[in-house]
Amino acid sequence: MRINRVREAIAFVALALSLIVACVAILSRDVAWADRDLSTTGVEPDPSTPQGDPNDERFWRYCSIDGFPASASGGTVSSCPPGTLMSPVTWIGTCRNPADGKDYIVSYNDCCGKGPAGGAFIHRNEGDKPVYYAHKSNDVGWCMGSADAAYNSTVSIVIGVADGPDH
Amino acid sequence: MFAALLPLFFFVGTAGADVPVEAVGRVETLDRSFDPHWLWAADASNAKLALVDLDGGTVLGQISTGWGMPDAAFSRTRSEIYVPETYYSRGTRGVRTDVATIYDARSLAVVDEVILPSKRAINPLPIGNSALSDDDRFLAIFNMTPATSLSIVDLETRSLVGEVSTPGCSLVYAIGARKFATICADGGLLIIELDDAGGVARRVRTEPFFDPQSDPVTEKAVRWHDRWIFVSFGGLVHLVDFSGPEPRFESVWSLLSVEDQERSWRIGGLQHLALHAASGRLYSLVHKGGADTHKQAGEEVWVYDLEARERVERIELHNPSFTFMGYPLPIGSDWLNDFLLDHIVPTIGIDQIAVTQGDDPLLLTGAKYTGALCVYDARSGVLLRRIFTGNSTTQGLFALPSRVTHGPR
Repeated sequence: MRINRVREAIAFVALALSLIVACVAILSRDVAWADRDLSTTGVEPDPSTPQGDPNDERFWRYCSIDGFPASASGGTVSSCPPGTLMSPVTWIGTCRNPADGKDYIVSYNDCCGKGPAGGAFIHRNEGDKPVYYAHKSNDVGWCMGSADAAYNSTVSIVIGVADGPDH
Repeated sequence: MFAALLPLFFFVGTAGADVPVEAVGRVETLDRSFDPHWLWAADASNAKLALVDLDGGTVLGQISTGWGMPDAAFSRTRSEIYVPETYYSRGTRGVRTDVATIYDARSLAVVDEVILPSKRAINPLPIGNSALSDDDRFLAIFNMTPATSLSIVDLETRSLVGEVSTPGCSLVYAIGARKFATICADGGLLIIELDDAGGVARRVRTEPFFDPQSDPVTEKAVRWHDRWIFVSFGGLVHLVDFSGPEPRFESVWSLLSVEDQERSWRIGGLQHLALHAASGRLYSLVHKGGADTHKQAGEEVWVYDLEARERVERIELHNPSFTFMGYPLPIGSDWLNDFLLDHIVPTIGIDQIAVTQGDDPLLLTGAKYTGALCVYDARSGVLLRRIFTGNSTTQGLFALPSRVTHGPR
């Protein structure tokens, strides 16, 4: 009788442990899926990878940038640092997003009105053209379209999916 | 006895030789306006051009240049230097003023200025943002808002005489006494000829001579007498002869052989071409890389005979040395510094080259992360010396054209 009670107790504990392990596993899986869903919001690469990290020169949106990224000086990939003005005219690049394999049109608006941001100067020129082909040139000082024209940094704004031959 | 008095003799003798009293307020003036072995080195970080003597390695003076990439044009007939500048009333903000400042080439002092429309183009190009007509009369400054135009300054009256629209065409290159060329987005040229008042006497648009989509020419062209040499991303040489009333496009040839291309050699850099006009030698900065590396730093300079259209020499490049805030950072003694830079320390990437004119041309190489330069014998490719310019960075090298010949005023 005592033996049976012992067996029942062991079975209960085993069952309880199994349930706990199963719950932890399920919760862990859910958390993992939640992380994965978060990381792919906007279908961009995992931020822990170079292609998904705005602080890495290999960040996918920087394919045609030539300047200081705004995200390293108080702004983000799509917003300028405090106190600057974003130039309304700009050059565009076409960058392939490794997360979904699509080509996106990226607008490299300059942030203007303060001195150069400094820090990492990213110099990638995929698809870059000379100054006489202005809308595809990253050498043009695009702060010319801003009231205060001193160059500070550059954002990389996704403005659409590329679907034409001239992108 | 004499020996005992000797120290006293020396004491009395030297006590009377005081250091001469000197005048306060004296400022140097260069003994000549130009020299074939002088070079202006641009430093955008400190908004200045530094004048250096390439033989002695000494800094002779500087010009402050305002916001953006330093630019300058050098008169052939007057002892003057013309510098397009941009300023904001509050440093990096406020009311913008563009001005063409006229400097005396010996005192390096401002002698006059001409206020410009506040829209001159701001970009990192060391060439193509301004041009002086061959007769020294007009200075054309490239504007971009992004609408494109040229501001025209009369240098005899020191006044702004007009603005010429150049729709679809950018940059400016001097091609004659009163003629300028601009590059158009379709791969053609827009030729502007001025009248005596600085107005447009003639405007000609050429057919495209290159494909801007598949293989555009870089903006960093060099002039060879009446011809301009444009080189494409892929290394094709487009030589345009402006000696006649209409431009003549010569047959295209390549700086890169099939074997060179198979080994991934490409042209590239911020200022990747230089030329010695008298010998017809073209100097091209090259590197190993793939597509879109047209602004990548170079590993070698290849020298071409323009008449024969063939490469005649390869020059391996050296590390120009390091600077911090313009201060030289040598690694130990001179011989140790040279040894380490030549054999141990990897190159920091050469972005710009220039060649002086005259019978004993020098090849200069610079890099954007240092104010130091390397000076080579342009004929043999032998490294002669490293020099420091006082600059923190180097964004452009201005060797004076051979036709600048005037001496002291």
